[in-house]
Amino acid sequence: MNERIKTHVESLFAGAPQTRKVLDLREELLANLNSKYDDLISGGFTPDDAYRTVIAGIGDISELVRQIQNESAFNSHYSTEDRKKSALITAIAVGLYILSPVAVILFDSVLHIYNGGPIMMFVLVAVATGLLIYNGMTRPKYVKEDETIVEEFKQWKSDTSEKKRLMKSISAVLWPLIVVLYLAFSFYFGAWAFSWIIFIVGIFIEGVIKLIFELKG
Amino acid sequence: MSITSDLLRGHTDTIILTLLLHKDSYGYEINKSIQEKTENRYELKEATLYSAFRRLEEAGMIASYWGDETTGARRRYYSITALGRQVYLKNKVDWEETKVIIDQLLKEEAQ
Repeated sequence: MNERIKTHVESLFAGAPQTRKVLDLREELLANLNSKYDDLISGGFTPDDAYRTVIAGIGDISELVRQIQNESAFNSHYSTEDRKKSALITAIAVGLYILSPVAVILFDSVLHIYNGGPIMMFVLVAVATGLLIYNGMTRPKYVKEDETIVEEFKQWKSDTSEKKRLMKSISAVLWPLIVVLYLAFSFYFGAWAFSWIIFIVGIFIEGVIKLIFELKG
Repeated sequence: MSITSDLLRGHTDTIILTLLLHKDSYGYEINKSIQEKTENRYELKEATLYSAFRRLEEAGMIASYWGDETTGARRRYYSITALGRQVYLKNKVDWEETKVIIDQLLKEEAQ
């Protein structure tokens, strides 16, 4: 390994981001230049002449480095726009959850339509939950850039958190649903004394779902 | 030599494909073959060579892999794909035809 060639090649790549592709190109170039240098020395060149010949043969590599750089930038994760959209959807969904009891109050106390309240509440909860699940499912998955352990780890993490997101979405449906059932059941049958059991049943159901997910993963 | 280089540059990809037809190879070896075949009249700049590799690999005409050298630095090897072979054959036919046409056109006519 010739140190002068190495220093020169490093200077060519100075300022370029240390992405896998850029490092690969540097390694490839360095190996080939060294082979050439060794051949020239065997052919009777002085070290200085061999070095000069090798360096002169490289040509203008800046364009190539720039292209590879752009390529890596192109491949980077999801945009701010996606993130903004995702935040908006979440905000609307949470807003609907908060507003859903208002429907009950509005229909029951103001409009005096007794069955309308819970129905409206169910509809609002369903829409909000739908939005959250849609949001969770459409988020772009991390696709690994190359075959390195770091990339594999990132993808594994992404896969795992995708499962977590789905799990969270299911919980997000489950609990409002249980609250609605609790209220509806209690109001209609006046069964306040024992209707709270539904919360324990809820915990049990959530546990079972979690278990299924763990076993699947 | 500079005029020749301009004419030759358009054929860099085909030249590389040709040299990979019978065996996988790496950057320096390919360039050395070019020098030997042309009796030192032609040689690619590294920048030209690696740009071509990248272009060909993106187009699916060649594939690359790292060699497992026991001594010294790792080398990146290139191999030609089925598509690369097709393109080579097509480009060769195109060149044969072009050569005939250019020859016909550049021939000085006897008045």
